[in-house]
Parts: sequence; structure tokens; C-alpha cells
Amino acid sequence: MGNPNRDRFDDTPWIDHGLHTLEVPTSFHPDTAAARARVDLAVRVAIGRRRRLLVVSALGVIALVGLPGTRALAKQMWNQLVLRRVVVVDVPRSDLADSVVEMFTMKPVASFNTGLDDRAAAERLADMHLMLPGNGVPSREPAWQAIEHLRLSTRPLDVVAIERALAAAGASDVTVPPEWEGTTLVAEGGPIIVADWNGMQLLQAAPFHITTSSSLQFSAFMTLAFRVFGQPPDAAATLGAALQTNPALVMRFPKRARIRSVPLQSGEHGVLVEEGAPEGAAFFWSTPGRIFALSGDELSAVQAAAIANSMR
Amino acid sequence: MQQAERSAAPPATAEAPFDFDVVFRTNYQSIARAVVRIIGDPARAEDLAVEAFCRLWRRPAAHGEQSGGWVYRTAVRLALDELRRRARRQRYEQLFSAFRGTAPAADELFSAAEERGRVRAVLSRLSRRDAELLLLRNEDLSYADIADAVGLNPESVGTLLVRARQAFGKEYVRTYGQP
Repeated sequence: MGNPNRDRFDDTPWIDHGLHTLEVPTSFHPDTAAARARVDLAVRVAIGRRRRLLVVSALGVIALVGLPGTRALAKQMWNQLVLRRVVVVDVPRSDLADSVVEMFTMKPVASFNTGLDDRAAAERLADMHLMLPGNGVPSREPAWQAIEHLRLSTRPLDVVAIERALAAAGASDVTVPPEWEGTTLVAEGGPIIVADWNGMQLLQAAPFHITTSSSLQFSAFMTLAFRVFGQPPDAAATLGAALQTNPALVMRFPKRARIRSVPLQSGEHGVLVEEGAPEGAAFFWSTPGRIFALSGDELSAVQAAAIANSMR
Repeated sequence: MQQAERSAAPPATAEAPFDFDVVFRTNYQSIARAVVRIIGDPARAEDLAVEAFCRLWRRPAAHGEQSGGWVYRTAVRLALDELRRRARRQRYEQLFSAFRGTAPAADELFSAAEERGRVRAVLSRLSRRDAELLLLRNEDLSYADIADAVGLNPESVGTLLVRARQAFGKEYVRTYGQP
């Protein structure tokens, strides 16, 4: 048998010679410390990306939320949205292509994450007093991060594709204004401050701004969206009108998620979204001028309410 | 700093504690060298070596005693992919040169086709496994280590290496003639 590590092809030594020409340049001195720092940085970015996804799901729930208080509705912009009231809207159609759904729901298109040294740095960046739970989370200081800016957008509207989706839903009474071709809804917000207790994260931010093109009439747009999503005409019109009064970020959330409305001491309700492993659970609520998202591997309604009620 | 250390600690598997830092410090230099041998570009080699470790961090299933072999193989694969990308680009560039009527002269072609370049070009055309086996063997890894890294039965490494060498030789001769 001989040495098992000895190659058995001495008849072609030129192959070995060729492979051995692949030498390490004499000037090559890998910098282990620098490389280790780069790995750390990449890992932190990956963690940030995961948080960003949590934010996305946070907004996904906000998407199901009606916003109170009629806002001065400039033709193109709704400012300072305040989240107070929760409306869960079911989308019965399961045959819709993602490309169609994405014309009415928002996805992040740009964000910028940064690490923060401590709470003081986070407050300076956010320009507000940050609230933390009084109970229900570890008492130690969390790690701080920020999503300095988050921009979300719908996919540009494709009138022909929408008309096709409406026809498939049996909504032959609806017409899509041709001038809506290419229209998008854009929402921008930030900084979103993230306090991380290693397994439980709390996000808080000021309300987002929504921008539309001037040709778009928001109520009609949302009514159309709900028709495409399979709502009957009356329900779609009611929802569209509600969102005209109380504009919201319109996001999607997975069907598999279990959603519960959880009453808070303030008299408002939060929304608990339980997706199970590995996504875990997230709880969303708001106070005037601020939206919150709490996420963890496990989070019960009792825990979520206790934490939200103890914020100070 | 404390945060960075905590952030970079990958999740441990249930079976055994895993020290990413130890694996990194033990293997980084040799892996970076293995990559630079393959692609010949020092800066890019460090990029790819770092990327291999990032992938290890993100893959808890690879954490454990075999981590060194796993990251080695991953780095070699990344380097081979890089070689293939470069070979593709070269082909396109040559194509464009031909369209422009400025195809490189024969001696220019051969200046780029010195032995090292030829070997890299041939490796880029081999099957991934053949190229991996040859490169890992070229790193003086034992059959057992190669088997660990590539996920083969150690008994079959010798046979597969023979086939890989045959494939290399055949491709080399087909492209450049008998050396």
C-alpha cells in the first residue's frame, strides 16, 4: 500500500512543476490584525442587516395600521404621521404575483446603519430623549445602534399589470388612471435607534414621511390596492377613505404570522406579531410622535404589554 | 471594542464550544497564502480570505473541529471562482479586441501565457472538484486533510487526485500543447 499520502503519478512530473509555479509573492505578508478587524466589521454589518429586516417587519405591521388625526394633506406629502390606531386588513388573494403586490406595498430601498457608543450618543443622533423599559428586559445597559436613514418605496406602478390583476380578481368595474403609470409611494424616516440586549431589541423612531407623485390621489390609490388584494368594493372604498384621513405606510406581512391586538394602559393598543422560530415575535405600538418596535426570540402578550407600559 | 468582540462571536453549536478567534488566528495566514498562490493578486487574496472567514462565521453548521478544513475549502473555491471570472473577462476582452481589429500579437498573448498564467487558466477550466483537489494537494495537505476539507472518503482521495491530474494534463495539452 505504501505511504497513503504519496501521490501515484510520477509519470507526469511537469504537472507538479506547473502547480508549484503558483508561488506566494515574496512581498506578500497577510495582515492578520487588519483582516480580523475586517471580519468584525462585516459581522457587525450583517447584524445590522438583520436588524434592518426587523425594522422592515415593524413597518410591515405599521402597514396594517390606520393613523389618527387628519393631517394637512399637501398635494404631495404627508408629514409627521402619528400612529395610534391599529387596523388589520386581510388580503384574501393568494394568487397575486409579488410584482403586483409590490406596487402597493413598501420595501426598503436604502438605509444607512451606524454603531453608537452609548445612550448619550444615541440621544444626540436622535435629537430626543430615548425611552427604555422599566421592567421586562435585562437591567444592564444595552448596545446601541442606529439606522440613520431608511427609505422605503413601492414598485413603480404598471397600469397594464394592475388591470390584469383586477380582471383576475373579477373587479371589472375599476379603471386605472393611465397617468398613474410609474407612480410610486415613498416613505422616509430615521434615525431609528436600536437598543439591543442580545436577544431582545427595542427600536424607536419619529414617524415617517410619505411622499407621492402629484398625479396620485391617495384614497383612490389605496382603494385600488384593496380591490387588487381581493377586498369587495365597499370594504375597499371604506379602507381607502380611512387611509386618506389617516395615511399609513402600507406594508406586507407574512400570512403565517399570528397577529394579536394587545391593550395598553394608555388606552391604545399595540400589535403583537408572532412568527415562531427563527423570526420570533415583535410588538409594535406608538405614543404621540413616536413609534416603537420590540422584538425577541420569544415575546408573550403579557411581557409585551408590561414592557410597553413601563417605558419611561 | 467590547461591542465588536461580542458582535463577532458566532453562535456556538450545541455539540461543542466554538472559538472563532482561535480558528481565525490559526488559519488566516496559511489561507491567505493559499489564495494568493491561486489568483496571484495579494490585495484580492486578502479580500477573499476575509470573505471565507465571514462565511464561516455565518454558518454555524461549519463550526467545530472541521472549521479549519471548511474555511480552507471555501477560500479555495472563492479563489477558483475569481480565476474563472478573470478568465471570462479575458475572453470577452479578447473578443472585443478582435472586433476592433486589434487582436493582440502572438508574442503578447504568450507574454501572458507564461507557465503560471497557463496553470491558472487551466485550473479555471477544470471542474471545481478537480481544481480543488489539485490545489489542496499543492498546499501539501495530507489525503486525510483533503478528505476532511472536501468531504470525501479518505480512501478515494488518491484515485480522485489521479483523475484530477489527468484532467489537468489533458486540458493543458489541449490548450498549449505538450510541455
